[in-house]
Amino acid sequence: MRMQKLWGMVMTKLLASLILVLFLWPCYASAITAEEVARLTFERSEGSDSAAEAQMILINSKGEKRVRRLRIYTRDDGKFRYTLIRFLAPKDIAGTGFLSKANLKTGEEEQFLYLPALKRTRRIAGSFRFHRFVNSDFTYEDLERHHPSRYHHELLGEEEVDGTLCYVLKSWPKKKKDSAYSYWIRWITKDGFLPIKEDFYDKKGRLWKKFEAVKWGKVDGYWAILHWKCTDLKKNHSSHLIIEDLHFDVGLDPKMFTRRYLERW
Amino acid sequence: MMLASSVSAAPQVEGTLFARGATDLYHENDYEDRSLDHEYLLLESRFYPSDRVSGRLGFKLDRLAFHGHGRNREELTPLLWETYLRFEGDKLELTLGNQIIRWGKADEISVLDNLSRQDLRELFTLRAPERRRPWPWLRARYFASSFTLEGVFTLFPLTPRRHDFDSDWAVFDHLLRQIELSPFGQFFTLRLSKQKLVPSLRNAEFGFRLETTQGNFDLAFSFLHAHNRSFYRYIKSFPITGFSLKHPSDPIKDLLDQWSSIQIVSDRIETRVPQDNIFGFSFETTYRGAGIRGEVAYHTSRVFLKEDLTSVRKPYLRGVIGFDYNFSHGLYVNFQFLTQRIINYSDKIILDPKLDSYFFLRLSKSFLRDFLTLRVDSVYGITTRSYYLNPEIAYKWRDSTEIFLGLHLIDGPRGTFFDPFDANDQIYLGTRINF
Repeated sequence: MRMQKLWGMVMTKLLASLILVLFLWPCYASAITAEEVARLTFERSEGSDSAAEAQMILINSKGEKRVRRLRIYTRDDGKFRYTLIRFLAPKDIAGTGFLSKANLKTGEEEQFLYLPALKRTRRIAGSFRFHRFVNSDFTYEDLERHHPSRYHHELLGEEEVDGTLCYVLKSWPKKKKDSAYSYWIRWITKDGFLPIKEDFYDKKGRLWKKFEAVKWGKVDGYWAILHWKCTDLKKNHSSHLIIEDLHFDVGLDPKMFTRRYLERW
Repeated sequence: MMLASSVSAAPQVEGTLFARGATDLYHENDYEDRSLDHEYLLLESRFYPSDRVSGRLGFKLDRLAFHGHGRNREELTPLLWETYLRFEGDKLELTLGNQIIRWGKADEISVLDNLSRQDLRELFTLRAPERRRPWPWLRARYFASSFTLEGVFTLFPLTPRRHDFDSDWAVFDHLLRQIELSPFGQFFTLRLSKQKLVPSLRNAEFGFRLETTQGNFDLAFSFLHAHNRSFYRYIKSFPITGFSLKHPSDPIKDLLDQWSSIQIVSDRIETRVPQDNIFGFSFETTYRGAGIRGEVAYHTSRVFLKEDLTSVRKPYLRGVIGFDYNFSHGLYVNFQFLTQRIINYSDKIILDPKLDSYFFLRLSKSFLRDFLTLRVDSVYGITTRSYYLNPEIAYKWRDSTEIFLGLHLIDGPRGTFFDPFDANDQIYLGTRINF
């Protein structure tokens, strides 16, 4: 009799637990953490490599435009992500090359800059990230993919941007000197983990820059932003980065991502 | 595997038009130049007939004119610029022709940048990239997985381009003119008898360089058998004996003071172009957001000037270390410390102390999306307490067109390197147009 009573109690508790688990399962499944959103955004696949032509259009407060042309190549070998940028126009920067090699595990990055006028490749330091990218409102830091381990993250919720459901993620650097910003908020698509909107705040906590993906979509099966707009709210000017002729998995030679190739101009 | 071309297949001609005019802030001496202007037109084309072969064609027309004391001088020089053919194998790369090769890893002040001809006609007032001229070299590079081995060879002996007389920046300044204007101008004249070196195996220059990367340290070891790369000519004999230069900026004062004890033995200054061996080490790394670069050069036989205006050759050790940093608010700092020591020093050497150290500091900040740049380059001689200041403002009013305005301010106590250029403070205005 005692055994039957004990068995009944165990079964009741097991049943209650099962009902609780089944009831809470959908909530549990969707409870993604801020760190996971940051990691999945960083690890978003861009294929083994990619090649693109791009143009940067700078628009000042009077509406006057200046155009820069560049080629962007990337490669991912599972350990490192390589990026090679070659500036083609205007003439004063034509030939300038930028090569970065980012360790996917640690986030550490080696960067090299080739300036044709100096006839040599310079290893450039982390502080170069604060440099403007060819006179635009983007800095080299803005174009990085932000290794999640170097930042704190907080998931603010979910919002729709132009009909696309996004995670809203706030991030700020673990070391203040690692960034020109105090924090930034990104709207990251739930499908594809693509940051399609970003607000950057200065060291005093004031909104400084707004990034908006004007056009994005799937190319060769990978999500990509094809038109970025960056607005500097302090200076009242904007820059557009328009990616043209983008291809993934094109089979680029690994030799392209070397200092030897960087100097090939 | 695809090796994407980073350039267009069809050759295109690109060019630069440069013009800079400078005028002295003070007109201290009658014989001095009052102003100068320097212009050049550079036309270049790159071609890539195949993945393995590439080349470059370049031509420069350079004009430099000095104005002052009623004697304007103009120099129009057509120059073959970078013109070479390059073969690129999987691991081997060969380049033959007129080319600018940059050894060393330090920035503005480099002690290993000895493979291009230096245009010293305006001395240090032209920045390092503007001073370099291409030179005919055969250059071979072997790219192994963990190191790069490089060899260079030329039959053409390389010496810096510098005026001997008749310019504020010349080796002997305006000595001829000063003598002409002096009380003893009627007694003697001076002329230079230069050794002319012909291209030959005997006069050949060659070098090797091994470059490797350890962690985030780039290291390079080099050796170069070269000719004299110093600011001075090697003066074998000077026609005035018993003379001792005490005031480099005013040699006539010394001549007057010593007139009774000197002897004029001829009218010819005999110069030679001695050889030198340069052993080098350079490194580059990054640490906490800063770029750190350094170089060491050991010369077996560097030329120095003595007070009797003949030259002497001494072993010479030079080292430079520096760092650069970009602050998030846009300020850029580049700092270098240079120290150089003459080994087996002789008291008779002038302008260069036994141990000589300098600070170089570049501060720059950009505005208007980097189209407006304020920059100050400064050199301070710790040993000699001399300085060179170069503040400049540059504005790009179009992508292709930059205008700049600046000052060259120089001061050096008597007998120091900067002393002869004390009176050369200038204001300049210029433009650079790329097309």
